Amino acid sequence: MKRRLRLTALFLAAAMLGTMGAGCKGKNSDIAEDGRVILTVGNWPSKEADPKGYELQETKKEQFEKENPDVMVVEDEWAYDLQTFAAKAEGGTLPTIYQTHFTEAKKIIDGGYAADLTECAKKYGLYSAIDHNIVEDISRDGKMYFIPMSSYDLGIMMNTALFEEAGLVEADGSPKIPQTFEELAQDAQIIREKTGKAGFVLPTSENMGGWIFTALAWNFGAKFMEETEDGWKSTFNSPECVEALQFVKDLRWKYNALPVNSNINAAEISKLIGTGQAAMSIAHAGQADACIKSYGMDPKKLGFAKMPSGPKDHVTMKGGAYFAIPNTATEKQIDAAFRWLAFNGTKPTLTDEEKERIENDYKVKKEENNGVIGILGLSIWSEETQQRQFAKEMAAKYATIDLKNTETFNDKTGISYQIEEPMCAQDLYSLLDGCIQAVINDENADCAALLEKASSDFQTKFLDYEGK
Amino acid sequence: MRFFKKNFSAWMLIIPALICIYYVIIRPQITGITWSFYNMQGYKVTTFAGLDNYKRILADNQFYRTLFNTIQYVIWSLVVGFLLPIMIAVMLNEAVHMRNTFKFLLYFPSVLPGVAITLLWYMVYSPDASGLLNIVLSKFGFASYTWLQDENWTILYIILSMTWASAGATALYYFASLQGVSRELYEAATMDGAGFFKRMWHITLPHMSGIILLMFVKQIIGVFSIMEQPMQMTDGGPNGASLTLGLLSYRYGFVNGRPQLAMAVGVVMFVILMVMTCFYYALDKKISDN
Repeated sequence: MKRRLRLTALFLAAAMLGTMGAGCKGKNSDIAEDGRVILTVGNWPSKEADPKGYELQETKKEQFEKENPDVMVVEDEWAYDLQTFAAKAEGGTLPTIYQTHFTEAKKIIDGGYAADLTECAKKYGLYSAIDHNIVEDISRDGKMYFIPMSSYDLGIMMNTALFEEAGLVEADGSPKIPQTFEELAQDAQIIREKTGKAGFVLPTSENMGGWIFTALAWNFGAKFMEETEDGWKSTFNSPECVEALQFVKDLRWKYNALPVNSNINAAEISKLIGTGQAAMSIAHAGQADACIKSYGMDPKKLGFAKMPSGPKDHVTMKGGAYFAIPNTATEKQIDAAFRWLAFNGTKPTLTDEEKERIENDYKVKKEENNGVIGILGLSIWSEETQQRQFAKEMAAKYATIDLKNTETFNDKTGISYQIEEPMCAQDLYSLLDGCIQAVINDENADCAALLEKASSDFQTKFLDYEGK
Repeated sequence: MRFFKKNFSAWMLIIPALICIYYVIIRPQITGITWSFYNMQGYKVTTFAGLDNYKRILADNQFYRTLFNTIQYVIWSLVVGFLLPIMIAVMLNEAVHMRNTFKFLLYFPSVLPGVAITLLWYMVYSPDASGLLNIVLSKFGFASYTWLQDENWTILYIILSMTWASAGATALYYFASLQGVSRELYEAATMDGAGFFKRMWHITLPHMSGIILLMFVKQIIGVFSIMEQPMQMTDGGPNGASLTLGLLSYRYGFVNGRPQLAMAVGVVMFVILMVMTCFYYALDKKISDN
């Protein structure tokens, strides 16, 4: 009896340990047993959550493997997120190719987690076809570390129905686009007076407020930081930045143009514009999609205009999403990843079949009213590439937005594009969120004092520690 | 070794659990404490930093404000949410009819997902005219109020929503304790002419004193590590007025990419909570002994 008990205990212990061990798989090899190169592709659609996307991706995989018999594609549902990235990078379990946000690029390069892709980018003709400004953004010391996937630039998202209601229309019936921030404030005030709705809405939380504010403040001549011989210095306790924050404060208290809610994130912006509770906001084109898809807004009532100019400059923010390949990938895997990307459309040229497929996607999107067609964000491709020209052609052909309402935004001339602040951007945004919330909630808030403190905190809490 | 051999079967059953506890509970804690003394690049430990990370967080005014906020959460939770479940339990105990219905209704908020509760209360507190409370105010001719955006009271409003969600479930603990009181005691006291308050003072409260003390400390510990509610309802705002140590640690770790500072804040919280936990166990022991 005792012996049986011991054996049972031993068996149970072994079983439990075995179960635990099963969760601790070692690092995968880059070559499969049949000699094929293993290409693990991240962001794979979930079979349960997105069966349609999954089927489509599986079909692509099958076709790719047929055309590239030396490669074995392995699905990985993992999508970039801050919580798990570093642990996966350290553990060597990142997919061979995954998508990441523009904002993470510096962190990934600094952490040494990105592979040098320069040679392969040249080999597959991407290096010269990608917009040269973007190549600069994704390179360090002449080495290219990412492959751009998509890019965006910020503009003014508008609910044109509120403009019409407020009588802010041009002779041809199109909405009156504010050319300067001063004009924007005045128009927002008119909208509030005539319609009772917020004329303008600014995000204020989850670091979104600070993010948008930096782009707004650049137009007032604000500089947030500069690199000196002694390291990075915080510089936004400047009269220019105070003027920009005063502008936000005036929007709330002088023009009465902002909503009373001072806890607004990106989703809330789309909701307010999409449901006609606010007329304007600084946004990227992706947020316009949410207005249509999530809030049933008529795309003809949507406008997307160029960022207005400020007293000192006319500039907007650019950013995007990239494909990344971890530093642990072998040359063969990197090559396979480039072939996979080309197969999926990341290449400057288009075959007739691809053109047909893209056109069909536009058709379906229009038929299903699944977002907005016609807003042209900043392209990852150079102007002369076939990709860029065809995208323009399709946007015009299948436009769901009234193209007059997005004319100024689609014209990428006459404005400069700036990337996000280079150091401790999220920390900066977090501090600026606080400043924005303070001026929106308190009529007597002192903009200069708030920025003085925020700038000092940014220096002592964050910049002073950079490089240490 | 002899001891191990003697209890071989028991050890075989315990070891997997011990390994699990080591990897899931002890090791992460040791790692977290270790990281708080190092500089890090992403999640990679680089150089020994000594007490620099602690100096860095302690030199920050925001840390003290956040600590003060967290203490405010605890105080408000005791003011608003400590007596309420006791009162509910006593009323439930006195109820003659529909006791099960009341129990269900009281427990109902506890089965709702946390995010749903937060969203519900976010809409109740909505600062524009669509907010439930503002609709009520407007019915009585008052102007809308900004609720969660009022720096002075936002913590109280968050605590109110938390109390709504948890008071019923806590009341059931007290109610279960009250069920253990002999009805004869109440009957005898009633026959001796004791009214409700005398019965409460001389019978109910002495019987509940043990669980009341435990719940008191447990509530302090639980609320001290609050993070989700301010994150979802105010994102720590307005201007840091509802930021808690838990949320500050989360931001350092997952938003700003500085796990070493998150760990330093975590260790400070850990020390404070350990003191409270020791107090809790001392109380627990005292109560068990009695």
